Amino acid sequence: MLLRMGLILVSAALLLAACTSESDEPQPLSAQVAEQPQEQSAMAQAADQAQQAQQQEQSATSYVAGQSESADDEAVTQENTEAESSEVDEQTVSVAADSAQQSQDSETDQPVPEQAESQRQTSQQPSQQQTSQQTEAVEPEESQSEDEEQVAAQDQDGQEEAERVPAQGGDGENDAAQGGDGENDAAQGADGGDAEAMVGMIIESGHRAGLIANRNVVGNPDAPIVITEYSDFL
Amino acid sequence: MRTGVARFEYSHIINHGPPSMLGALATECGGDQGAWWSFHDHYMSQWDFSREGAIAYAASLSLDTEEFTQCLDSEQYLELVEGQHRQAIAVGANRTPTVRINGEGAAIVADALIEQVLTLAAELAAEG
Repeated sequence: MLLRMGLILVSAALLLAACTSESDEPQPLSAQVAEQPQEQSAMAQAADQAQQAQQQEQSATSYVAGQSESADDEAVTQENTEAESSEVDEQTVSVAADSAQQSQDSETDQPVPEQAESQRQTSQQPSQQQTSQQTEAVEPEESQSEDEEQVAAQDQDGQEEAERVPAQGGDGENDAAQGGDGENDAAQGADGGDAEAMVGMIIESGHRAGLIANRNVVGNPDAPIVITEYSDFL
Repeated sequence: MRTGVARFEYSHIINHGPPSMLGALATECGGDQGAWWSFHDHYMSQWDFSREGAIAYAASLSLDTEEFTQCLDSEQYLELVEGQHRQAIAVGANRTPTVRINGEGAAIVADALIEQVLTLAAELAAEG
């Protein structure tokens, strides 16, 4: 019996120990409470990343629009809003821990207008971007007008060139005059023909007419210049 | 040449054997009757270098064909022609035609010849 009572006591002690171990389970509640901020902080980080991505896109568009300064200012304001939103997240966590709904409302009401303002700013930013795009759209019109002026100037140049073409036609007349040079060439050819005719006449007229010709010598026998040709008839 | 500043001389070169020799001898025999340049121009314009062709051309010029034939057949001017040929080879006239002025300088042709003659004529005119 004593042994049975001892076993019962031991089992009861074990049960108590097990109960005590089960009573430790509520401790994870605090861990859960501690984990909840981690999850919330992760959510906040994800929100921050999304906002940063939006900022990068906005800054990129603003740099494209050439409004780097305003974009930087907007980036600064957005960073402030991010810091504020992170603070808001932390406050919401603390509010969840306090479970005071009024204080939560009072604390959460403050960020909401800021977010609204930031949203308004972000909603205004596209309008600014639109205006910048409009200005860009206007500038191309101006550039188009400049291009049109250039085109008109080119047209004028084309007209001038077209006017120059007849002048070149005048050059063509000059070319015709050069054709006159060709006539001169023809005259020179005629001169060449005359020379050939003269040579023919000289040959037909008994060779070297008027020159002293004695056997293999033509010209003045006492001439200081003697031209000697060494040749074969074949 | 018409002003008496220069004269022209022709010197035979026999580069093609008997036809070249026959043309040279016929020209020298025609020169005996005042037809040297006629035969020169004749052989420059046609290539009939036969004995009969030379006699026929002499007849066409109303030359004494018997005297011409005897001169040609006896090779009367053979020594003269061979002498000119040797002289031409001696002065370096390996190609035909080769032209030399006053027996000096390298062989020249055509335009260079005219320029050189005009230059020499100008120098002579400057000397007075």
